[in-house]
Amino acid sequence: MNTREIISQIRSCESMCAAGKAATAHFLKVCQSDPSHIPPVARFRVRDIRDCHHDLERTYLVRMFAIFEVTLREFRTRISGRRSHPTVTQLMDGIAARCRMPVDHLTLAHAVREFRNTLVHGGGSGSVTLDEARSHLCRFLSNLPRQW
Amino acid sequence: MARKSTNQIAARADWERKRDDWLAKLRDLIDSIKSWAEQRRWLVDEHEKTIDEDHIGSYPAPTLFIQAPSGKIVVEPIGCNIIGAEGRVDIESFPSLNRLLLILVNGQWTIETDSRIHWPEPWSENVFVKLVDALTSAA
Repeated sequence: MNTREIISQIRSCESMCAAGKAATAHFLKVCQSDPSHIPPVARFRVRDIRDCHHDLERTYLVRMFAIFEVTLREFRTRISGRRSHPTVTQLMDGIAARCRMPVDHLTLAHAVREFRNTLVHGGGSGSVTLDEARSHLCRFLSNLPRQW
Repeated sequence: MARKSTNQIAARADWERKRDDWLAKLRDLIDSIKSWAEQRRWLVDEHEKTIDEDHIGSYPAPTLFIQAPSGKIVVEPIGCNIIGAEGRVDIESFPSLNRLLLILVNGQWTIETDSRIHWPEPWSENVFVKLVDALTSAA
């Protein structure tokens, strides 16, 4: 595995989200002035386009974190040969210690994890933008070996 | 209230001492590497980067750019608030991006490969030259 490729995948979540936001913003504008642009067979309304537009960043944050988590599980399996399923917190802490990571990099990645948990399971943790999530997760990953 | 304030001052002093110890060790390391490289007539450029760490804040730290006959090397300090260590310096070659880590543990520099395998030899001039060669010649 190549860490730079995984970092690119995480970055592409951000650019896909930007493209999606531009597209939904345009479609929303069009449909607000003329709702007949919504295909007759479609099962959504203008309100759904607006909600989709506003929710995209959070959706992509969950997707971005999923790539991050899968990467860490794969890394752990490769380096330790273990197939057990630790919690994401344990996984991040273990890899951070092995990779001699700056404490700040781990702390910021945990902030993304906590916000992702809030999005998926509810609760209240500090909000993280997609831009911040990309930055924090990529910084964490930059401590992994280049090839593994 | 007063006790909390005293604790905060003590904690702040601890972090400042940690930073100062790290910067002193880093200065010694940078001076050694510069001297070893210059003795071999390699081009050496010292620059400064800003490191920003929780509890410590921003501070300047030296970095080195070395042009060895076999390739370019960058010596880049990462910080002192490192899990399981007192400091970390990355040595990276360009354009291959091969990397080694110098880890400060108990006041001593130890070497780890990018895969975090402990290098069996202690940090020294001979090892530095050997590592530069290995980093720059590996694809």
